[in-house]
Amino acid sequence: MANTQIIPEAMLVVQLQEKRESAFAYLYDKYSGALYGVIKRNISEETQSTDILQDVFVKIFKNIDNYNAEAGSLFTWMMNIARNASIDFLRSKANHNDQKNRTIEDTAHYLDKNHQVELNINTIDLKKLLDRLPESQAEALAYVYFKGYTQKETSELLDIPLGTIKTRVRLGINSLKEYYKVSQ
Amino acid sequence: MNVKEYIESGVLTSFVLGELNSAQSMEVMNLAKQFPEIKQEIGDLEKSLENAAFEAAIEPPAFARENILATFKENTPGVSTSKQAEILKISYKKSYRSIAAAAAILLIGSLFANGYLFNKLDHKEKLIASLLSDKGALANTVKKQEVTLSALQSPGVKLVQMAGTKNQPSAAANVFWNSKTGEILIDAYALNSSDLEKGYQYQLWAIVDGKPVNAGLFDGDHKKGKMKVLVLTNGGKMPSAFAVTIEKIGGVESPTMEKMILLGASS
Repeated sequence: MANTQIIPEAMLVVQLQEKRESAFAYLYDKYSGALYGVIKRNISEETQSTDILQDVFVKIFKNIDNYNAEAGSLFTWMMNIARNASIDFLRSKANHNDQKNRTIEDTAHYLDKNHQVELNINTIDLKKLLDRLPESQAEALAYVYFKGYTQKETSELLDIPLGTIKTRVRLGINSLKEYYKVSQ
Repeated sequence: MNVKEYIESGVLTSFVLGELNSAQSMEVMNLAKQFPEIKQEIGDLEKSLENAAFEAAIEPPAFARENILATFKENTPGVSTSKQAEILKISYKKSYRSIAAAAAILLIGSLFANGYLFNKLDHKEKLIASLLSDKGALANTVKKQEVTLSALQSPGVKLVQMAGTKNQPSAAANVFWNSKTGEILIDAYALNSSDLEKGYQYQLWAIVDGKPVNAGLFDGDHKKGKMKVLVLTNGGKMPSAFAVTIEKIGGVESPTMEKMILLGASS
């Protein structure tokens, strides 16, 4: 379960927009683990993953004035920054390696087009969480949420129609909703 | 619009995952304002994913926290003061050039500070504006209630409550009829002129001796605490009822009964 909210989100946003250090430290302590969970599963090497975490927080505090609560919760906004940063890093790394020889590890990360490589090793500890879902939903959700691919990219990578991926993602989130009893 | 179908289309999932372009996102945000179910579903999707992300959290190494908070201080004008303090230590012996450089740095620093303070001021001003508007709305409500109260306290004033007919069951309005002056105060609190077709107005009728007597025209813009005063010129005879019809602007001589939306007997 998520932490109970000590500072109401709207108030936290105002304090962040006023660039208060205490608010920023609170934000880091509360959310860094959840954001780092996604980054670390994509980028296992610690120097690189902590660099990305730093980039993500720099983006958060540079762009906090543009955050719009109508467009979603603060966490959703931050998580999307973290997901994009991870996948951008992997892409640039994969592009870079294209010019040399692509390593096995990167191939597993980025181009498992034939889907012979199962969810990579870093996603294994997500198993407990995703085991609650039917396998096809777990796979779609792992790609789309925890790996940060778009639904379209996931459809191409797994060679499954986009509509099917979208349905699996939606049902997967619904199963999580049931599990966490979010609506009650 | 079929909200259930919309939710099942998966567009909200794409929205929460940040996959929509800005026009599509705007559309979702607008619909979320109109349909509470959509807003609720977005919140549920977000909360489910957030819970999953917290469950999958990995604690970053301790050094990351120090680095990140240090970067925050470096990038935030007003937090770090050490650099400005150093500049003040420059001795008089230094050349004009270094004093000029120091002045330039101070100026730049002050520009940043200005920007920061301006943002802060802007934020506070917005807050004040929103508080003032709340205050205005409250004052209107109070004023309206004062008018209602004074109308009710005047001798000879009778309150007639009108309820919506089957043509518009949600309609409601109060009429205060002053038998001494013939004045009618209409408080159409549940009528809205935006519900009216263009070119139409509300017309109030007093039923006197079984016949409808024109009691004046009004539009429905009474939601914001305004009340319309109409005058009935029938020599002070108590009407047995009041009614409201929707008529063409300018009114008609006899009411269009099919367009009657309000009726209340004065018992």
